Amino acid sequence: MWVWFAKLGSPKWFYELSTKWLPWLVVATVVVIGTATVWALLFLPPDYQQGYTSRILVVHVAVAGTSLAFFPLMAVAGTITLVWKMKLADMVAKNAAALGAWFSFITLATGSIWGSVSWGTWWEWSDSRLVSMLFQFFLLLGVVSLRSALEESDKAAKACALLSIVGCINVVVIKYSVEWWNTLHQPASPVSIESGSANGPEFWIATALMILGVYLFLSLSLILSTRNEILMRERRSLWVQELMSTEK
Amino acid sequence: MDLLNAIQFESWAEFVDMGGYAFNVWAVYGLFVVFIAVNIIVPLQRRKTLLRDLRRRQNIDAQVALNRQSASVAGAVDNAVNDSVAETAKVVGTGQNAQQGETS
Repeated sequence: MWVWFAKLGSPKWFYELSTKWLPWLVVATVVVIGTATVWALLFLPPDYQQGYTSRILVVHVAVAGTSLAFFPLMAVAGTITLVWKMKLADMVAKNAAALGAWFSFITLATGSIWGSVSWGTWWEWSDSRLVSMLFQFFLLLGVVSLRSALEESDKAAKACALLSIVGCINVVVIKYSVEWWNTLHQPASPVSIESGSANGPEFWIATALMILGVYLFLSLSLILSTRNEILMRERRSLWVQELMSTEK
Repeated sequence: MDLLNAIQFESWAEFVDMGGYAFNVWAVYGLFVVFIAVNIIVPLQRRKTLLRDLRRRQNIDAQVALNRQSASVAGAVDNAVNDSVAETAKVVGTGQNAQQGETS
């Protein structure tokens, strides 16, 4: 178990394994997101209240739900950094923060575009779901700038790890905000097996597929940037030096 | 075919119109595409420049080591190394361009 754990933390091992798996990940991401997008745009029947704007929710729900994974992910990576000082965990955490900010921004933008039709407003300061998601966006930007503000990389890693763990509180707030304070943002519709209902199979299967696709994309983007981080930080090691002369 | 019948639109124009919400629906899907493209292309570009820079650095280091060896024989280590670093940077730079020209 510990041998496996130590191996997992080795940047070289991660780099070589990801080289093998990357093509498959790319294929899976393209197929799943492609299928979900075509399904949502062409086949989704119009919602009895929202009409064709329910197509927006397939993207919005998938990106929003996935954006909640960033703080827990960074908190786990941060804990590993703090306790075991594993280099790889910190590299993942560093790149996750910026990607998470992107996810939060897209969540806010797509939600706004949907709300402008369904709620008749682009933004509502009194809605807890909207404001807590905006807060997550700023928190993630905060983690990114904290990292670049601290010169010493060891100190920066520790500070970011702590902020990531604390930031998980906000994820809980986002999740339950629609139940605790009910203003504008509706709670999730219960999944239904009845065709044609608010969250019937046509809608939730397309959304579930999109969620899977967005998670695959998240992994792909994160792996690509982590590989860059590995090359940068391990540039003096023998294996990277050798890799330079063989790989194109 | 069942699949074709399941398509919600009768015509291309109807598909584009999205029941009158063309702007909202297409803006969201457009954003989605840009979001995915940026977060894949940026790390790929970064990899390209990183590999180039690391390789250049590697070549310079190798040259410096070589020059240091020969310079230490002459007994003028520091000056020679400093001069040669600048010199190698130029040589390596042009040398790489020439190599790229050959392969591409």
